[in-house]
Amino acid sequence: MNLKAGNTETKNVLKNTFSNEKIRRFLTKYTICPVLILIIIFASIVTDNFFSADNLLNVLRQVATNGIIAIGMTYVILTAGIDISVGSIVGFASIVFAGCFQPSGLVGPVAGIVSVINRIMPHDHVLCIIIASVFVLFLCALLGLINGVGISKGKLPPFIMTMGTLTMIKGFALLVCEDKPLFMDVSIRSQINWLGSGRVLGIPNPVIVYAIVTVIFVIILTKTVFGRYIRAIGGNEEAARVAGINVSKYTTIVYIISAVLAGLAGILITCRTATGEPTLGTSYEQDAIAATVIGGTLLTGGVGGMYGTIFGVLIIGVINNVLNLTNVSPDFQYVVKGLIIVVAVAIRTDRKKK
Amino acid sequence: MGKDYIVEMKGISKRFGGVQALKNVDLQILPGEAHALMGENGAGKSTLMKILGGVYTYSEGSIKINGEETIIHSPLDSAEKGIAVIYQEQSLVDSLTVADNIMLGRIPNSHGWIDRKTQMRKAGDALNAVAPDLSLNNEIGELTVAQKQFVEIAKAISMNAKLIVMDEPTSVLTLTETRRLFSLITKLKEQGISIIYISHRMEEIFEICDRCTVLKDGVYVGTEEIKKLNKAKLITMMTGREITNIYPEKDNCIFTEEYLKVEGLTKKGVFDDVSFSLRAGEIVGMSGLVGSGRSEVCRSIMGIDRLDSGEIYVHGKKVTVKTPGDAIKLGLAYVSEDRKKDGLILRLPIQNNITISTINNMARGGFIDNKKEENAIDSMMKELSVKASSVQQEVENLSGGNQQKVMLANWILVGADIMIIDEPTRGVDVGTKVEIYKIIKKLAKKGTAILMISSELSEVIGVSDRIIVMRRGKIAGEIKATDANEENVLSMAM
Repeated sequence: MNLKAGNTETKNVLKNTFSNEKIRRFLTKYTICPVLILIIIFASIVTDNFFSADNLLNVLRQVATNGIIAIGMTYVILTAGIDISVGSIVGFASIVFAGCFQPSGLVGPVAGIVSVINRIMPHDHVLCIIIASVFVLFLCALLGLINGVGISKGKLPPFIMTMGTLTMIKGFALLVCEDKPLFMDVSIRSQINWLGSGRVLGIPNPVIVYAIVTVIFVIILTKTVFGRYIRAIGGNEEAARVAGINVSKYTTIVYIISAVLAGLAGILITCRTATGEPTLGTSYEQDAIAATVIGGTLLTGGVGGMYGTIFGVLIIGVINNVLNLTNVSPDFQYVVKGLIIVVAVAIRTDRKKK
Repeated sequence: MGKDYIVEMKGISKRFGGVQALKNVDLQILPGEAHALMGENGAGKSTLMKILGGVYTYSEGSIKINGEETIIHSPLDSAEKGIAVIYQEQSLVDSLTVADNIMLGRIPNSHGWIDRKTQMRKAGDALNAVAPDLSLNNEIGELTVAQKQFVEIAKAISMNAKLIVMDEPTSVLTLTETRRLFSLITKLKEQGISIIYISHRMEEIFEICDRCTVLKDGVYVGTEEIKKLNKAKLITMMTGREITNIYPEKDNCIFTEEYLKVEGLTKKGVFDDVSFSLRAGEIVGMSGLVGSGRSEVCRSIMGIDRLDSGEIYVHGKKVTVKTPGDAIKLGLAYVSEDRKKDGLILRLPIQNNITISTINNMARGGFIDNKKEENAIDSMMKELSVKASSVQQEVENLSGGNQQKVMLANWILVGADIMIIDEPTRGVDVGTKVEIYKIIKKLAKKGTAILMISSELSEVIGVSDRIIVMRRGKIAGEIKATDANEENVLSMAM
């Protein structure tokens, strides 16, 4: 009675797993990649200067901050959640960060707090930004914690919870500066401009930050236990719980990440504009969600990942750039962006049918 | 010759891309017969029925209905030709009433205004023939699984179906409900309606079916009258192997240490004052009707659901279990009853599912040790003979038996001293069942204390050393497997 029918087959299974199959799977999963390549080819034909270093860096610079927000959004969507409060958090970060350098621009108890920060900030270009950033990002983390706790322990649907915080944070950001954007003095501008507009070896600093953050979060998602847990929670939250995963804890962490990255984006933009804008990030969540979805991450959770989002971010950036170079109206760019979202998801959906 | 088959499928072949799902399959159904369609998971039964139901097309072969060759274009077409398919995942609308569901898609109306009277009359006739105790005005969402099934059958009758295909109808039914279904099937047969019956439960096939067709790996093996078959012959046809003993040999448990003891476990309205214990190396079967509280008790022990009161002792020490994570740390494991619901993450690959509970142990500082994981998965795939094209394959693409094995693999890797397995072979074909029983036996021999919940009496008696019976939330009795038979276990359960 020999019941070991599966053994030779099982050996083949393992042979198949770790070989060129990987590349094939990558392309199937991220169909958006060949599409991006096609668009780039199209762009270089249709325009004269798409491929100039100047232009490419321009594209990267423009997408960098959105790209950072999209990283956080990808993590959240992988858990089958959504964070529409990121836009408000960008604005919040912007006004509070600016306030750290110019407390006179804020009112109320918050003004008092940022004055303290301002006093401990040295005049050194780098240190002052670091201290202000740590403070601002810490606050963003708290906002993310609120989102996380409401969703994991309070059992509120993510859309509803983050819609609530979106509104509250926006209100708060406006209150804190009495609806008036904070235009930073010329003397302060020079302190922070290097981060927002400066370059290292010709590459804009925000792009460098985006690259570093991307690498970190790609590694976390693909090589750590945390990354596995996120996918598990998004794939089947109940199964993840039964398997022993602390779903509440990891869900909360993901929303904290989203909020902190949104804050980081806000800081980078503020360093460039030298203006604390409470309404800075209005509708930024749309771009972040679009990039994530175009990149192939499913809203239902578990499936997708960082590589896709990077392509999504680039595609939006490249298409906007091409439209600019060919003098198409900026309003039309909205139409195109919406079209890509629909097409990208349609392609993905077809592939899922058997 | 010239038997009048109501449905005749000849030489049916079907490819999916590079995979030959069916090759030259025949199926002939006589009027008024219950015809079993048997085969291991992946043999092609569902595919064949989907072709009959108008969901798939086929590349070769022909279909005749009442002697006339015909092409089935769509599910609606199939229904109009007199074929009704009742799938495992039901197709009723929860928020509508019984009457609405029975007539769904064909609600009698005049120019869009519903003719309530005719609808109620037609639906009423159909429902009366099937389940006279149900009301046309019940909302589907309020009905039990068994009642929903009867509504589906009523729907089929109202569409004048001459052939009803039932796919695993009893897997979620209680014994009483199963008996009712069987009486209904007998009645339908008397009216000349035929049934194609798909199930892994051999006892049912032998009780209710007249003839049986067997498929293996997409190929037609043969058709035979049930009275000319016995269990062993049928298994050989299905698996191509001779399996004389489904259940592994029993031997005396050599371990004595008490691994788990529970006392007075209570959860209001669900179970009351449940106490029992498990020794190392023992396989204790938990029997009882659906709804008797077995899974609920085990889920509370595992920290998945809350406990109102009671004490749990592991290795003699009193413990508190608040989450599944706590339970795992204490040496407990729970293999879910419903793998699709909370036992597996279907859209993720085999790799993620096999190591989901143990990935933390295969990492340093949060970073996964790929080699360690690879080795662990490697050993599990081999030991459990999981059939898949690669470990990156999504679990939802595996057959039921292989899915069950992947779920088991995760918990075996956990290496728990106490393993609770809830319905180890639900929706699993007989060949894989034998493999799973061997795995369970092997674990017990190594000293693992095993608590096995099962609704299949022969399985409980065949695999366990000792049987605990639950009835309506309480322990009804305990009996040694050697003293047990279907009658006395059942009488304790009812």
